[in-house]
Amino acid sequence: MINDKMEHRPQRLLAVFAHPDDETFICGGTLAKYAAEGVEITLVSATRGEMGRRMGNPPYLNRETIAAAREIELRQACDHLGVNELQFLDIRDKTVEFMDEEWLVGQIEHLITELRPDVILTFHETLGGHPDHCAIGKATTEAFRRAGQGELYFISFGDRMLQPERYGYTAQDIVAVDVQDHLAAKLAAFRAHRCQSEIDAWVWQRDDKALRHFGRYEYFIRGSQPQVS
Amino acid sequence: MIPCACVSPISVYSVYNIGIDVLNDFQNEDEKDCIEEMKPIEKKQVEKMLSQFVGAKVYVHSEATSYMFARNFRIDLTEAFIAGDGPYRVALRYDGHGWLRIEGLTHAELDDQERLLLEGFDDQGRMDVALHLGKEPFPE
Repeated sequence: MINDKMEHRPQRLLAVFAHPDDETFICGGTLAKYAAEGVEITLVSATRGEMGRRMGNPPYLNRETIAAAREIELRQACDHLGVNELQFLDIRDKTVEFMDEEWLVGQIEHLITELRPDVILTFHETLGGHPDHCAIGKATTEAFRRAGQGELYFISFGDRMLQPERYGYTAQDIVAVDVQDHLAAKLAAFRAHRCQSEIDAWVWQRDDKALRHFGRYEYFIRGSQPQVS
Repeated sequence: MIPCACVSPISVYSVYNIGIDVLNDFQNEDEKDCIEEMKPIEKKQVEKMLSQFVGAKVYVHSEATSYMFARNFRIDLTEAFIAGDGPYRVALRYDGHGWLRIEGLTHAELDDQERLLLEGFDDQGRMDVALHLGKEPFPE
């Protein structure tokens, strides 16, 4: 996904997602891998995930306290993954699709222009699975097209993209990233998102057992033609 | 933030985010009490808390978590009821012609801003419903 180029500045990756934990649960291994290789990673979370159902188990958060808690958890997850910078768009959870689209695209385009990332990760605008995911994916895709900077990849869930034709893609459209050596960081980030992950007993099993729940690869859909360097 | 009388929000979080391997075993009972803000509903107590909002202009946050939420609609609350033996039902009469009724409530808290937070959780701690009353608007 990220190739060595004859440039002196570090490679940069911009990930634009909807909720705290999207970055960990979906592509935490990839972020940890590139961070370990020296790629500078900026994560944008459109919301603080403050309208979710999971409030800890047993619940120790409520609707008014959860936003601050999830921000703290996300910062800790970023530390485990090696994400350098975190930004929020301060949109209320579950309302991303109702934001003024020009405003939203403009925010992201501005970030891309400022940061000049080599790679941009976001949700696919129809395969995102949640209205907030699809909305932030659609806006980021449009911002990428306008800014004309870097390469765009869509994140995907689990190993669905082993069968890309089911989603209208071919194997050539898919990139598999081997994250085997970075699963420990991914697990630590899962545990940092405690109020969301503690309902899942496997996360809290012994490390070696918990790690068996992760796949070796994370899959991405190409959102732009590969650039010839 | 995280209302908690005994420690600041940040320290609450740092207390229970260290020691990944022992996260399910809280360090001691004091900390556990401090972390668990929401308490199982005691009907009489909630009835009393509700009565403090009757006759006032009230801002309401209400949600059926997987389906809808409404934030900061303002009502003149004229009557408030709690019914059931747990989970509980609460009904509000407002503006002389309105009703809001919600069921499945299990937990309550009067937070440090004197907002009454009523919520309903399933057996795994996932929220199903919420009804919050405040005399000032909730953050948008």
